[in-house]
Amino acid sequence: MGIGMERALKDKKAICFFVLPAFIWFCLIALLPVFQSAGYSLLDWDGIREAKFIGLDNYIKMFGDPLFFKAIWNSVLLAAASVFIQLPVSMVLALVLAGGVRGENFYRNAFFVPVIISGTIIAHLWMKIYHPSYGLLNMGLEALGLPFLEREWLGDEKTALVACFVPMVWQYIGYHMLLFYSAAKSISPEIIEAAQVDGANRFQTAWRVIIPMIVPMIKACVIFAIIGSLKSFDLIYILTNGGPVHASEVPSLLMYKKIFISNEYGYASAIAIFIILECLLFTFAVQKIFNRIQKD
Amino acid sequence: MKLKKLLGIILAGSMVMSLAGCGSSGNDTGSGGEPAQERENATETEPAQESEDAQEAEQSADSGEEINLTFWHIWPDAEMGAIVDNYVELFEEEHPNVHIESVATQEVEYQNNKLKVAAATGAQGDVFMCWGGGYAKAYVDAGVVLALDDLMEKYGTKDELLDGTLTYGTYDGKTYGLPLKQWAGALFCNTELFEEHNVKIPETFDELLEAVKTFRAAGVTPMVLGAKDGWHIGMIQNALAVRTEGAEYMNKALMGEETLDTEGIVKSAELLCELNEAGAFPDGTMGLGSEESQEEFYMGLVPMYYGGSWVSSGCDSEENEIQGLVKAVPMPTVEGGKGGVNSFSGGAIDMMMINVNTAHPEEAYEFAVGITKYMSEEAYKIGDSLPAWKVDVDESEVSPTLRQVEELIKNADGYVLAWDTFLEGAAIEAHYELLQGLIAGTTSPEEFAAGMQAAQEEVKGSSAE
Repeated sequence: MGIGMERALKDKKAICFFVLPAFIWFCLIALLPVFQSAGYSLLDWDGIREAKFIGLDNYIKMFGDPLFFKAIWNSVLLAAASVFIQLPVSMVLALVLAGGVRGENFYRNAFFVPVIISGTIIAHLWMKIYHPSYGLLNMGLEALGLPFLEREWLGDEKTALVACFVPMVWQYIGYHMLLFYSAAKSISPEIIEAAQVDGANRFQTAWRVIIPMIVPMIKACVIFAIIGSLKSFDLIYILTNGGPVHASEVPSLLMYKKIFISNEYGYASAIAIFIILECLLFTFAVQKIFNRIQKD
Repeated sequence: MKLKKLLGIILAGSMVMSLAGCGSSGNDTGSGGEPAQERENATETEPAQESEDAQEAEQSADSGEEINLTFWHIWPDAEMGAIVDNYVELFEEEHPNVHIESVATQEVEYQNNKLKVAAATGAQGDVFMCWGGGYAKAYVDAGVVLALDDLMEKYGTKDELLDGTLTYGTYDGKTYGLPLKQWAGALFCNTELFEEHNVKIPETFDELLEAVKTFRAAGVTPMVLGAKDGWHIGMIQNALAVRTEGAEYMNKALMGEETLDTEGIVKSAELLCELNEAGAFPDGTMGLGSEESQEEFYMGLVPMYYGGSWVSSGCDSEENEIQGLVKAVPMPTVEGGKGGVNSFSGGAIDMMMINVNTAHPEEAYEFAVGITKYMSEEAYKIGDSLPAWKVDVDESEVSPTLRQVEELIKNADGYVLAWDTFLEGAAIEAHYELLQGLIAGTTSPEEFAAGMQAAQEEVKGSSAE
C-alpha cells in the first residue's frame, strides 16, 4: 500500500488525472468569474442595457476618486486593527486556555460563540448597544456617571469607523483563538515539560517555546485576518451602510453600491478587480515577511 | 518550484474569490437585448418543428392544460402577504388550470439586487412587481418588459383606472405597468403630544419651526428621521421642494427638461437645514435607519412624522399606542413659494409588469390586472395606500388616518413623485449622498442643487448616447 502510494505520487500523469476534476471545478466557479469581471471592468455598462467598451477609463476614474482611496484606507486600518489587536488578544486567550485553566472547555466554547452567530445578527445586536438614546453603551456611561463620554456612536463621523471596528474585531477573536489553541495543543507535552524542567516559567514557556513553534499557524491567521478585513462587508453594511458621509466606507461596500444603486456595473467590476489584486499583494507580502522570520 | 509558486497563487486567489463571485453575478448574457431575441427565435422555430405539440398545447389550453405562472412581489410580511395569498387562491379557484407560484422578497433586497440581476437576462417572474419612472426605464429599454397596450384595449382596462395613474408606467407612448396604488405625503401629528405641550399644529413653515423649537426645549424629539436611509431625508426635502418650486416645474426638472439647480431647490435644502439646526430630528439620526426612527413615533414619543400615506397603517394598527390620536395635515406652506397647499408629494409609482418572455401573456395579464385591483382595494382598507383603480369600498372599512389623507388630496392640483423613483442610476446615489451631506453639515444647500443637476446631466447624457 505504502509503496503503491509512493509510486502513484511519482507518476505525474496520475497526479494530473486526480487533480483535474477539482481543478476544472475551481476554474469554473472561481477563476472564470474573475476573468469575466476583468472583462466587465473595461465596459461602460449598467448591467442591463447595451455595454460599451471604454478601455481603462473605469480604472482611471477609480484612481481619481477620493472616495475610493478613503475606502481603501479604511480597510487597511481595519486590517491593522485585526493584526495588532485581534490576533494578540486571541493569542493570549489561546495560550491561557491551552496552559490549562478550570473550565477550559466552557471558555473555549464561549469565545467561539460570536463566530457561529451570523454577522447580520451581530450587527443588529451592536446597533442596539450603540443606539444614541436607549443603547446599552450610552446608558451604561450615564449610570457610571460619565455622561460627557456619551456619543452618537454610529451617527458621528468621528466615531462611526471605530464603532464599526469594535464588533468586527471582536467577532473573530474566538476563531483565531481556536486556531492558535489547537496549534498550541498539538505541541508535544515533552517539549513543554523539558522547558519547565529547565526552569522556564509560564510566560517564558509561551514566549520562547510555544509561539516559535506555531509560527506557521500565526502566518495563516495573519493572512486570514488581513484578507477578511480587506473584503469586509456585512457588519458595516448593516451598522452604518458606509455613512455618515462615507466616514466608514470600505471597498466592498463601495463596489456593492456602484453595482446595485448606481447601476455602474463596469466601474464596480474595476473595484472588484482591484480588491482581488490588493488581497493577493498582501498575501505575498505576508508570505515574504514570514519566510524571513522563519529563516532567522 | 515554479509549479509550487503557481499553486500558491491559485490557493491565495481562492481565498479572495468570494468577492469576484459577487462582482460577476450578472452572468454571461452580455447585452440586455438578447433575451427578447432568444424568445423570438424560440417561438419561430418551435411551432415549425413541433407543430403537433403546439396544436396539442393550444387545444389543452382550452380544455384546462396546466399553466404555471410565477409572481414576484415584495410582501413577505404577514399583513400584506396574506392579501397576496388570498388573491392567488381566489384566482386559482376561478382558473383551475392555472397555478401561480408567488415568490416574496424583502423590498430593498428585491429593488436593489434580485430584480436587477434577473432582469439582465429577462429571467424575472412572469408577473413582477416593479417601480415606474426612472427605475423601470432600463428594463423597458432592454426589452424585457411586455408592452400592454393591446391587452389593455382588449379588456377595456383603462376605464377601470383612475386618471393619471398610468403616467409613470408609460414610456415613449407605450404602457408597460399597471398601477398598484397611489401615495401622497402628509405631516402626521400626534395630537396628544401637541396638546400636552400646548403647540399649534403647523400650517406654515414658520409655525413648524416654532413647534420644533418648543418640543426640543421640552426635551421631546420633534420629528422622525432616520438619515442613514437617504430616501427618508428625501421625503422631507422633496416635499419642501414642491412648496418652494411648485409641482409643475419639479416634474419637468426631474424629467430632465429643466434644471434642478434653481433658487427654489436651494431654498428647499436651506429649509431642511433650518429644521435640522433647530433640532427637529432625533439625536444621532445619521446612524439611525428609517424603521428604527419611526418606531418612536408609533410609540407616541415623537409628535411629528412627515411621510407617505403608508404611515397611516401604522397609525391605525392595534399594535401601536397612537391609535386615534393622529391628525394628518399637508406639508406646511412656505412663504413666497410657488407651490400651494394643494400640491403634494406622491403619485402612482408601484406597478405590476409582465415579463416579455412569459409563455402565457393573456393569463399573466389577467392575473396582473386582478391582483393590482384586489390589492389596491385591500391596501386601501388597511391604510397602506390610496387606490389607483376605481374601487368600491365601504368607507367605514378604511383606515381612519388614510381617510384624512384622502380628504387632504381631494382638491389636489399637482403631484411630484419622490425624486429617487424619478431619477435613474447614479443620480439616485448622488441624491442620497447630497441629502446626507446636508444633514451632516458637509454639503451646503447651493452644493446640493448644483450637485443634483450635475448628476442628472451625467445620467441623461450617458443614456442618450
